[in-house]
Amino acid sequence: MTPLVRRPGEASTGGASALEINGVSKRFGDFLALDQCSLSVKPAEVLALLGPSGCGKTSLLNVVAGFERPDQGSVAFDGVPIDQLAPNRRGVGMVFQNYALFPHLTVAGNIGYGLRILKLPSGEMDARVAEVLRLMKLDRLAERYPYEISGGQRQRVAVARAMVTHPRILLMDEAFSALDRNLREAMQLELSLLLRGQGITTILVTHDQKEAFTLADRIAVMDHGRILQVGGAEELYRRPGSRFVLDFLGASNRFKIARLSAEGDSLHLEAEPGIACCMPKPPSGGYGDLLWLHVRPEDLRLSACATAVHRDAPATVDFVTFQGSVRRTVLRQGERQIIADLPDDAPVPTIGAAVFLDFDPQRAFLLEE
Amino acid sequence: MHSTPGGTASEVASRWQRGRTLLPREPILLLLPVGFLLLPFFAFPLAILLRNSFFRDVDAGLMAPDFQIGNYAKVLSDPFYLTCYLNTFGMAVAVAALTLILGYPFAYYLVRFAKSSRIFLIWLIFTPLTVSIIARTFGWIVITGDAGLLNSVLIALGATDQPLRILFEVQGMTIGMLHRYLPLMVLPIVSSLMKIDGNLYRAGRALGASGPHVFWTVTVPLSLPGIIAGTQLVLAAVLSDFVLPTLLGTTKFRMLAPTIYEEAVGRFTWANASAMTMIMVILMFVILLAVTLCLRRYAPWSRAL
Repeated sequence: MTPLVRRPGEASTGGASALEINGVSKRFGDFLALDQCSLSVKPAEVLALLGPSGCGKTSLLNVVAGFERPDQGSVAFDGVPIDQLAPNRRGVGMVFQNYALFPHLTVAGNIGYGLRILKLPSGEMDARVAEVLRLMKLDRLAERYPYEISGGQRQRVAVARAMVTHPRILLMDEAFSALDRNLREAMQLELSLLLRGQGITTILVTHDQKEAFTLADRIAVMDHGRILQVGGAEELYRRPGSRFVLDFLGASNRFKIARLSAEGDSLHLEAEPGIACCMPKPPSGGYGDLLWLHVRPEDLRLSACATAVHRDAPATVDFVTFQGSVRRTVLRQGERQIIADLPDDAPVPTIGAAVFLDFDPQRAFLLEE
Repeated sequence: MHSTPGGTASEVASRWQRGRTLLPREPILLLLPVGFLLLPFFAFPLAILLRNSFFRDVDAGLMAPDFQIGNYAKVLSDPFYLTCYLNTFGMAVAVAALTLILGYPFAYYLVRFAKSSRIFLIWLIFTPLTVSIIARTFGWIVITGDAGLLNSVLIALGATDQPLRILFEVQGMTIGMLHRYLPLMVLPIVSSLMKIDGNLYRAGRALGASGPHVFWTVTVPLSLPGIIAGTQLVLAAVLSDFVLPTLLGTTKFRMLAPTIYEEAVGRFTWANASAMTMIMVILMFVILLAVTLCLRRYAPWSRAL
């Protein structure tokens, strides 16, 4: 497949980031939308900005696109600052949440809009529109108007329109949230293949952890205008740096640590009630302020008798729900609620039974909060 | 049966249902109130007018029942009447074009840039509608007369020696019409500009278009339904305007409505006046229909906005 999009790495003077965001802050009145955000995106990388609504992810995208001017900080493409450039001179492609297709133009007209501005020879323009129509499986819809096509097709048109001008970077703002679940997952997979096949540097904004996992090489988790942690999906999920990242990426059970002591390379800890285990020492920093032990629901197993990590104070099975891939089991231990996602081929726990928890300490983690 | 203070449960329920029958069972009946007004006071007179237009005027000032197209032939061939139609149409087109030129930037500013001043600006455009047309016309007379405010200022500034002829000329009538009909142009445009999704401007910019390019390729086409609606309203209003041509205009530039009035009330040629009126009604209908069909043909998307 010939790349539709110029690979930013090829154009740059070797090794530079495709996009570099440096200490960007933006304030709207009293509201600090962006607080010293720094981020770099490698050529052909897909990076997700993940966070709840109002966390500043869309503001950051707008700063990159040039729709918002940051109060502080700067943005550079391929090592060249672009802060002074108007949005139409930045060479970004943008896919909007509501797609923002021009209602008065046909599918082909929408896709050709950016090419007409480039003043390409009409033969080349038609060829490029035809190519992207084929790539996005829109050939038969070229002469339709946006109101005549389905939501999924509109999204394809929006992506096609943003890609056809060969942007340096593709920006996607919640581009899947308007689709229903099955279509959304299919489109995510399809787009993921496309972006990788074409090597398009992409930033996508989403509040959906699954979308970020499906599409992104790296994820930047944002909250209150700050970038909290940047990393691969597995790294963020398995080694969250903060309670916020932990919770945003999935459910977790936390146990308050009563005693913590170091023995060589490992930590010995006792968490209430009745949990005791040995864990590898964190690679850096102290551990004195690590007060909570966290275990993901899918890492918990149940046992009728005491286990290596749970010796007394058994929990009671409250109820069990079937969720398809797992059996979500809610346990009660005094006032505390514990959630365990058991494989559906494991024995179904009896409601009211007293059970002990079991987990692999390697998969648990320690946090201050 | 369970009893409540207001009566039994079923009594309360049936009262509740009776309360809801304010809405008729057949939705078509909702048209009845307006029908009571329009049928006897608009459709019926129009039918009489149509009938009269085929009658024959006789010297006694009455009409002789007849069925002949002589009135139409006369109106459509006599230069006096044709000039009258041309003047009126020229005036309508000019006023529509000028209100568009004056009103579009105003509407665009109001929608895209005005924040706290938006209410004030909308009120400003509405004020002409709240003052009686007669009162406003006398205001224009005071301002545009030979010894009026405008000429006094111009002479005092040395811009002119002689007072400019504005009042009782086409100019005076045009100024009055612009003021009177500007809201009819502005309000539909405002409403169609408000419907444009702000992300469309951003999408255009991200695709490499400059601000002016986005304006001409996105904003203007998408406000076309508003422009068309405003133009139709202003055309219809000017074509049938009687007050402004009479009070601010000149008999050297004859307009249709005062001429019809003269035919009917001054010369008692009712049949002829009826034919003139019917021609205007038909022309107006044809124009409005043609514009609507063009919009449907060339901007099929406009119905889906």
